[in-house]
Amino acid sequence: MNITLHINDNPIDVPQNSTLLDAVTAFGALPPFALLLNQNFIPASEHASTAVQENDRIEIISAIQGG
Amino acid sequence: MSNTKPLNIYGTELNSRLLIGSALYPSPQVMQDSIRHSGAQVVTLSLSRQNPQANGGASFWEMIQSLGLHLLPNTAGCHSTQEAVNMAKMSRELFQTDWIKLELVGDDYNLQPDPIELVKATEILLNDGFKVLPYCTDDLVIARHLVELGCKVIMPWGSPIGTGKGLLNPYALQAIRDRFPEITLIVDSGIGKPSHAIQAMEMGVDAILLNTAVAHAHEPVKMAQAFAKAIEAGRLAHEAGPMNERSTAIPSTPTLDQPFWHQINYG
Repeated sequence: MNITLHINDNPIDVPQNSTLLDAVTAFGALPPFALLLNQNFIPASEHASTAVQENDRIEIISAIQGG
Repeated sequence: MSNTKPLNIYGTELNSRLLIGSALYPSPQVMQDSIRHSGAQVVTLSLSRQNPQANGGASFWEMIQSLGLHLLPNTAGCHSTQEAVNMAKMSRELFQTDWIKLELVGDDYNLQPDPIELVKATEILLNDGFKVLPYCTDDLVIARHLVELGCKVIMPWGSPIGTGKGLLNPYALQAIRDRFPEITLIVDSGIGKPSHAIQAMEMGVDAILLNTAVAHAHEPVKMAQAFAKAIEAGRLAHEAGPMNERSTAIPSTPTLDQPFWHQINYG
């Protein structure tokens, strides 16, 4: 059974028992990145152990130019 | 390099007093060349949503790493304490630094920092072990709050970000400088020309952080060099101590024993 998440505002279906890392890998995230789950920072050490749930909102964040 | 005293950022001593941004350059190559020619030892960068179609930002990240400089991530675009704290934590994880240029936008018209959210976020981040470099206005009392919280560096604006207007309120900056002589004072925005940077450095500002002034110059690499020289000159002048200004002329050539061939006989 699948659940629907939103990653960077894009809907994506993943298996129900997926972890945060499973979900962003399925989305095509390219390391290095940092993650927000429902606007909360999740450290990299917890990506593979954090479960995701229906309607979770995930942000994949990486480096850009800045002033 | 000159023999000026090093810049101190939370105990890290640097020879260059120019901190430079990585945005707005006409090309990645010009960015790299400009940063190298600026002599800066600190480069600012930021975070955004990853776009896998753009290689996830990997090429930019590799370019920045190849420069081998200290990284100063910012929290640009954050409007709330929670957003800024999250962004700081993500930056620490990705960039492996506890330095954070803390920006909290209070008004979208001029990107003026929100002093209330800034003070709140600064306290949370300092308590979490960050070395906070807060981007603030030139308000002496906000500076006082930041210093009392434990900031060793404060970064007031010269004028709003990207305007290039220089120092709109030199009096206010001088007041911060005079009131907190032990704090590392960096003018963080609004510098448009090397003469603006010299003015700030002569006043005793410790360093300049800029981006647009170089990136939007007609020849960014040349302008990077110009700023490097200007900031060094301004610092040398500050350490040397300028002369006192006078209202009346005083001859610089000794007049004693001067021959009298310029004397006019009116008799």
